Amino acid sequence: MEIIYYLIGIPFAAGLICFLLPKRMRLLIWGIAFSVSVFLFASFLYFFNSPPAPAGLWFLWDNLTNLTLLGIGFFGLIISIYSYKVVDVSVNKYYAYLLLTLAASIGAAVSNNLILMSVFWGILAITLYLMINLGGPDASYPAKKTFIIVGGSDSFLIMGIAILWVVTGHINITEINLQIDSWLSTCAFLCLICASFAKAGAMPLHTWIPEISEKAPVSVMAFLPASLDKLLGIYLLARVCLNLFSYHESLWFLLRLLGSITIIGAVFLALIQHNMKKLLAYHAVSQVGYMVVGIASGNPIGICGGLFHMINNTIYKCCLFLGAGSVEKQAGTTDLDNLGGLGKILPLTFFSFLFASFAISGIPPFNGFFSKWMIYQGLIEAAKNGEPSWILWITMALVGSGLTLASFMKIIHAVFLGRPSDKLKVQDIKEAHWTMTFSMIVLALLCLIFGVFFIRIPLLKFLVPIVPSVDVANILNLLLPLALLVAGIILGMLFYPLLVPRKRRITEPFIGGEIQNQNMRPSGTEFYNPVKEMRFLQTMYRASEKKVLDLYEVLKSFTLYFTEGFRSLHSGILGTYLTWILFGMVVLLYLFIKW
Amino acid sequence: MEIIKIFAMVAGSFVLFGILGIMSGWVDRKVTARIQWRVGPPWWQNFADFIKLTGKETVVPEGANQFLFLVSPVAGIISATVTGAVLLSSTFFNPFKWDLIIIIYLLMIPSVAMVIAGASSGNVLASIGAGRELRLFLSYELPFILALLVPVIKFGTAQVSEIVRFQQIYRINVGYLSGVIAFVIALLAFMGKIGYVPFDVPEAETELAAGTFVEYSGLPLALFKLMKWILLSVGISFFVIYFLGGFANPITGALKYLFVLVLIILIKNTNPRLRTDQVLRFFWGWLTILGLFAILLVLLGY
Repeated sequence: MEIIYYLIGIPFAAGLICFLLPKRMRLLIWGIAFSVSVFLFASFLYFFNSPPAPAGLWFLWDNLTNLTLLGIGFFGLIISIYSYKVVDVSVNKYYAYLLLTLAASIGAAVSNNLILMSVFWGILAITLYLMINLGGPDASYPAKKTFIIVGGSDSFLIMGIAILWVVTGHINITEINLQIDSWLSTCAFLCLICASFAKAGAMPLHTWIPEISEKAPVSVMAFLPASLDKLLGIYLLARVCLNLFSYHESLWFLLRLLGSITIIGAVFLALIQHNMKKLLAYHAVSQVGYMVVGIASGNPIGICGGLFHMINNTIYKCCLFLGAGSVEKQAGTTDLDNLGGLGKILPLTFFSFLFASFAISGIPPFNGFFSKWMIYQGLIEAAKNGEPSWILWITMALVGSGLTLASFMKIIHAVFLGRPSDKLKVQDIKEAHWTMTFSMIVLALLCLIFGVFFIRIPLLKFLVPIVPSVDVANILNLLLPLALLVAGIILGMLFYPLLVPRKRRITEPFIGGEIQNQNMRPSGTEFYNPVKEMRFLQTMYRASEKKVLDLYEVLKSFTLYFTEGFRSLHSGILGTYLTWILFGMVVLLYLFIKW
Repeated sequence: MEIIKIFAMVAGSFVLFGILGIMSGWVDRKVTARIQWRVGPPWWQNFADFIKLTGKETVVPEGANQFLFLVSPVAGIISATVTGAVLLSSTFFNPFKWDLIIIIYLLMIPSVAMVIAGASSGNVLASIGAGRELRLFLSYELPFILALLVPVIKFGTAQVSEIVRFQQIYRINVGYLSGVIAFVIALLAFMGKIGYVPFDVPEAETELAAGTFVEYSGLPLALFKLMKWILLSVGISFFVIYFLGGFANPITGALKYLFVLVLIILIKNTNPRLRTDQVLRFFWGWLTILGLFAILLVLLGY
C-alpha cells in the first residue's frame, strides 16, 4: 500500500526539485529525470507479476492498471532518453513538467476513488497546458484551446462522478456496476465518455491534437497526445465500459458509430496535409477510432483487440513523432514540400520510421495488423445479434486502414525517398544523436517483436489477464499464417544474395534523354490532389478549413453570440460602473426604507 | 517437422503459383494476339523471357536508395507467395478461422512494394508512377472490400474454407444476383491491383515509360514480372475459390480458372486506359454504389 505513495511521491518531489534548479545545470536535471523514470519503469516491471495492493479504499491495482502503469513507465523512460539532445530551452521546466505528468498519470491510473482520480486528471490537464506552452509564444493559442477542451471535459468527468454517486451511492470503481436504465445513468455514462474522448482525442473532441501539433515541441507531442493521453483516455474508456457500466445496446452502438467516424474522418483529413507533424497528429486521432470500436464491440475478442491496439498505437505513434522530431532537428523543417531523399542520410531514423509506418498501416507481421485483426473479428462476432450495422463499421475500419497506408507512403516518399529539395543543404545533414536514434530503434523493434511474438508476449502476458474470457484457441489460429509469413521472409533472406546482382552499373536516371533537374521533383504532397477535388470530399475539406466541424470553434462562436450583450455592459469605463452602483444603492435604500 | 512442413508449403506455393502464373501470362499473350489477328508466342515464351532477363545487366540510377530499390521486388514476391500459401493451406490442408482479413492485408503488400520501388529510384517518372499507384490503391480498396464482404454477410463467416463449403451445400456465390455483382466489382478492383489495362495508370508506357518500373532492368525487373504473374494466378485462384465454388472437381476447377482469366484478358483488350481522375471517379463512384447495392441485395436475401 505504502509503495503507491512512493511511486506517486518520488516523481512529484523530483519534479519540484527540477523546477527549482537553475537552467544551467542541464546534466543534473536530466540525470534526475532519467533516474526517476528508470526507477519507475523498473518498479512497474517488478510489480507486474505481484501487484502490491489489490483493491483498497483509495487505490486499485488490477491487471488493467498494471498494463497502463507499465506503459506510463516505459514512455517516461523513452522520452527522457530522447529529450537529452533535443530539449535545450527551459530545461528545468520541461523535465519538471515531465515528472509531474508522470506522477499525476500514475495517480490517475491507480485511484480506486473516482474523486481522487478526477483530481489527478485535473493536474494532468494543467501539465499538458504547461508543456504545450514550452513551444514558445506561438503555442499559446493552441495551448489555451487544449486547456479549454481537456479542462472542460474534466468538468464533465466530475459531473459524471456526481451523478454516479447520486444513483449508486458509491464512489469507488470496484463497487459500481451500473445497469443503464434511466436517463440519469445515461447522462453519467455520456459525461464520463466525454472526458475519455477528449483525453484520447476521438472525434468530435479531437481538434486540439492537430492544432498543437505544429507548435508544441515534438517530444511533447510524442509524450502526451501520442502515448500517455492515449493510455489514460482508453484506460478510462475501458473502466467505464467494462467496470462502471454494463453493456447497453444503443449506447454502445453510439460509441461504435463515433469510433468509425473518427477512423475515416481523421484519415481523410490526414491524406491532404502538407506538414509531417500535422499529418501524424491526424493519424493520432484516427487510430483512437479503432480502440473505441474495439472496446465498444462488446465481446471479449474485440475488447482485447481494442486494448492491444492501445499498446501498439502508443508504441508506433511515439516512434513516428520521434522520427519527425529528429527530421526537424537535423533538417530544420517538417514541411513535406521542402524535404526528400533523407533516407540515405538518416538511415536509422528512416528504418525505424518505416517500421512504425508499416505497423500503423497494419502490414503483417508488424503489431498493428494483429490488433486490427482482433478488432475486425470482434466486429464480425457482433454480427451474430442479427443487426447489419457491423458491415458499415468493418468497411470503414478496413478502408481507413488502406488510407492510412496510402498517407504514410506519401510521407515516406516526400521525406525519405524521392530526390532532395534544393532548399535542403544535404551535405550538412548528419544522422541524429545516438540517444535519439536509440529510443526510436527500441520502439521500432518493439513494433516487430509485438507482431512476430504476439501470442507469447502481448497476448498471454498483457491481454488475457485483463479479459480472461477471450477465446485464446481462436487466436492461436493466427499462428499458421504468421509462420508462413515468417518462413517466407526467412526464405527471402536466404535467397537474397542470389537475387541481388553483385555487378551493378550506376547511371543517370532515364527520363527520355532529358537531364533531370530541380523543377522535375514531385515532392509527394500533390499525390492526392485528385482526391481533394472530388465533389463530395471537396465540400468536406472546405468545411474543415473553415472549422465548421470543429466543436470548439462552433461552441465558441455560439457562446460569444450570447455573451455579446453582456459584453457591452462591461465597457471598462468607470463612470458607467459608478452609475450602476449608484442606481443599485438607490434601489436598495428604497427597499430598506419601505421595509 | 512442423517447421519443415511450413517451409515446404511456402516453397510449394512459390513453384505452383509461379508456374501457373507464367502459363497464365502466356494465355494472356496468346489470346491478346488472337484478338488482334496475330499468331502469338509459343507456350515457353514467358519462361524464356524470364531467364533472359535474369542474365541481363542491372542498372541502378544515381541518387537511388539502393537497398530499398533492390529489396522491394523480393518483398513483393514474398508477399504474393505467402498469400498463395495461406490460400492453399486454408482450402486444402489446414483451414483456420478469419483468414479472409489476412488475405486482404497480404494483398496490399505488393502495391506497397511497387510504390517503394518507384519512390526509391530517384527518377521523376518513377515518382509520378508511385503517386499514381497510391491513388489507384486507395481507389480500388473501397469497392474491393465491399465486394468481398458480400459472401461474408451471406454466410455469416469470414473463413474462406467455410465459404467454399457453404457454396457446395447451397449454391455458388455467382448463382445469386448479389454474388454476380460482387464478382464483377472484385474482378475490376483486382485488375487495378495488378495494373492491367484499363487501370494501368501507374505504368502507362506511353506517358511515363513504365512509371514505377522505369529504372528497373535485369534481375530485379524479372523478379517484378514474376511477382505480377504470381499475383495474377493467386488472385484468379482466390476468385475461383471465393465466388465460383472452388477446385473441388479438378476439371471444372481448371475451366473456372480459365474462364476468369479469359474474362480479365477480354476486359483488358477491349478498353482504353482511363485517366487518373477517371479511375478515382469510377471506383469511388459507380463501383462503390454498385457494391452498396450488392450489399443491400444480400441483406434482402438475393
